[in-house]
Amino acid sequence: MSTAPDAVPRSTRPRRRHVAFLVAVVSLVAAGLLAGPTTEEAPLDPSSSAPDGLLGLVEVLRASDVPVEVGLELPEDPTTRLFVPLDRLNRTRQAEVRDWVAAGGHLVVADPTSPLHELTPVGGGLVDSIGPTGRAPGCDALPAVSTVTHASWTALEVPAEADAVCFVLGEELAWLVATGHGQGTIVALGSPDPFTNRLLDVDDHAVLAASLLAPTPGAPLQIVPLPPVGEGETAIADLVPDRVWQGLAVLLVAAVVAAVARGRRLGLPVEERLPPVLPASELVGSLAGLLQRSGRRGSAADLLRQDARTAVAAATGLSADGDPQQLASLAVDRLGVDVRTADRALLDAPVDDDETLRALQTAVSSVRRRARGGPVSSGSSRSTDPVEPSSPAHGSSVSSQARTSGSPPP
Amino acid sequence: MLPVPTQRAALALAALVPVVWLVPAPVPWWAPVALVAVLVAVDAYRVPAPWRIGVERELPGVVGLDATTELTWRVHNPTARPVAVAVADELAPSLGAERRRASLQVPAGGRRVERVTLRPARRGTFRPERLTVRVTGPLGLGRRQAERSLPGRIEVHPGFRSRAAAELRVRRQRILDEGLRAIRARGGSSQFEALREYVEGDDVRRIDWPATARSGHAVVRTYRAERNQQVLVLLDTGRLSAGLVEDVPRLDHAMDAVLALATIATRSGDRTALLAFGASVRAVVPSRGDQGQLRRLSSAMHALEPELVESDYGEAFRGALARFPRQSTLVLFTELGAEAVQEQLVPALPLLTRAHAVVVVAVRDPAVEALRDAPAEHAGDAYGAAAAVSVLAARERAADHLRRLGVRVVDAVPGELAGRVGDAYLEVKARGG
Repeated sequence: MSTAPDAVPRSTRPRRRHVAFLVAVVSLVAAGLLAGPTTEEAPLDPSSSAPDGLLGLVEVLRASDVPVEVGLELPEDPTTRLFVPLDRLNRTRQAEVRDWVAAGGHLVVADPTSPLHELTPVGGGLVDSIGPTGRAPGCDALPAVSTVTHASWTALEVPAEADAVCFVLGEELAWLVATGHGQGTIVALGSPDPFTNRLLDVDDHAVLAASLLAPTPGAPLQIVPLPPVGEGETAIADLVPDRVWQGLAVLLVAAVVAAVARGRRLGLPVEERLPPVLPASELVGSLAGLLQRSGRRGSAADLLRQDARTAVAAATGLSADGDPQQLASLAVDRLGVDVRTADRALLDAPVDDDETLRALQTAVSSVRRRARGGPVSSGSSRSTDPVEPSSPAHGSSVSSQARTSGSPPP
Repeated sequence: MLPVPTQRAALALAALVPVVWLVPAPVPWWAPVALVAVLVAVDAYRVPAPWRIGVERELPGVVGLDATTELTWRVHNPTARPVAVAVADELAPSLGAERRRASLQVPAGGRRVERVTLRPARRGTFRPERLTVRVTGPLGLGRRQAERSLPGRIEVHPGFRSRAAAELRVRRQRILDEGLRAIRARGGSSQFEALREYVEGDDVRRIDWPATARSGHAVVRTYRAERNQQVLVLLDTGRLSAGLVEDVPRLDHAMDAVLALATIATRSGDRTALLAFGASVRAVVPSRGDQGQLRRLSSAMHALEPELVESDYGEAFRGALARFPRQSTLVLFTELGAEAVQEQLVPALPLLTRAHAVVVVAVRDPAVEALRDAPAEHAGDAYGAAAAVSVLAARERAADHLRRLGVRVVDAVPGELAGRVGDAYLEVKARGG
């Protein structure tokens, strides 16, 4: 089967590929340079004034005479409250924090997926991100807080041993769950959003922050920041900004569209049944292979010599079945063939190896050309044919006599 | 078929990626995809259905092998908007089309014509049927395509490379015609033309004794070859005809020689007939002597491909004698494979040689002779030469065997084959076998 040629010249395709590759590289570099994260804008950074920073919270608390520290090292003062807005700690630090709580510490975790509180998060994602903003009513544990804004929050499953549950979002689901751990308490929140600069002044969020993080004036607070890059459970993919992932997702869709577009051929491949073909000289090749593989040098030599005799006989009018010596003599005298070549081509002699056979064929070829009146070639130009004492070429051959007779070639 | 996006749609999406990366606004990732999807849908909606576009294909009915011809696509846009139309035809690779696709901008209510050159590389009948029509939207983002059924047919006839050799022999024959001394014999007949003085070498049987008595010196009757003789070509399409000689099947070399022979015979006033056979009779062209016979022969042979079977000479000869009982010059194109000749051809030949002059024609492979004649560079060359000697000797023995049976044998390499066949025919015609 074969297929018809394409209409699009293939020479233009490499150029297109190069352009596409160049565009892709430039875009990736630009994305890396321009869309990458900046340290000033890290989310939930206590020193950031960005909408998702926590600088407002720190300033408000400090204005309320709350000593606020930022650090990864655990406080030695057991009255210090620990606030983890976003848990990116490694397992070792997480274990240290839980031990610290078990020894009587008070921990507030605003990361619903944190292993620190061991609660199961529910919800969140795309539907919540574009869904309506709701409000959750307060609870008895936080009497000063009446409402908080509910947007993109994740609920937590309420365990049976919960000490306090606030802002119920469904059956067995709440946004705030407090549980005991050893001699201490862990307060888990479904989202850190109410403490961010953007939402701190909305509803009772500031009151909520004060109630949870500084319930008594002067009680110190330590905010646990994001650990340095490379520490913690953060994978390298987590360091890639969301916008880069979004761009790559669009690129993936573009690749799928390109595959669909190219997958729909303009015209199916055309099949064509071709007639059987085989070289007419195949039989000769096969026969030659058989002779060579079976090492039948003698048979090959006989065939070649007989052919040479036939050619000489046809040129001189003798019978090909006549005396080989006579034919050799005639080849020298009448056709001008070199004596050695004539003897090798026409007289029977053992052929002991392939090199001798090769030299024989070269001699036969030369004799045949002479017999047809063609130019003579050096029959043994490449041959280093060893001359054997028993060879007719060195006996009292007619050829030798003819060579000394001085008779010129015709 | 449903509309599909184009490469341009994919490029548009890819072009939006830097926008997603660089614009700080919080845009959902699927927004560019949705935008392009809407554009593709709008574009596809505005595309006319492919079956509304009028498409015609014009094919030449017959073209000779190695000749050049043109195929034409005519596209008509009946809609009120200009459209971009692409067509793809079902052209077999052997037709040698420079391309089988074309893209056209067809104005509203307008027509466009596209032509492509065909250089067929193989004999046969080609039947392109399906033609794919693709219509792309004005934005180039969406497209629709459908297959149309447009049955077509083109016959690629055998090439006639030896036309010049045939014409040369026709002219030479006309020049020699005046002095040709035809002899009535088996396989031919002759007509009395004139009396002239005897010259040395004339056949004494041609002496006209009454005229000699009247004139006092020897007078001979001269004849010219009788016109309207019959040349029956038997073309073997069996397995041996598949062998490539100079990259062309033996069968094709034989067809070239058949056309040359028919040209010479027709121009010499003779009738030509053809019977192609393999395991059975495959094609027959009745005996005719007009100028259209060359076309008939070419048409009958164009679709013949070698069969990988043993040729049945007996069946073919009996069929030929039944269909063409008239005394003829039979020209058998076959291969001189030793086994085939000994086991198949020789036993069947008496059917022909009783009443007809027979010429057996075979294509000789120059590659085998070159293998035999080349000085050996390696030991393998020597074994190859020995094998070539063996094969050529067997071939020569087969030819000699046929000659002993009264058959004229033409065994020639492709470049010489047609001329040698023409010469053999003229010789048979002149000498009557």
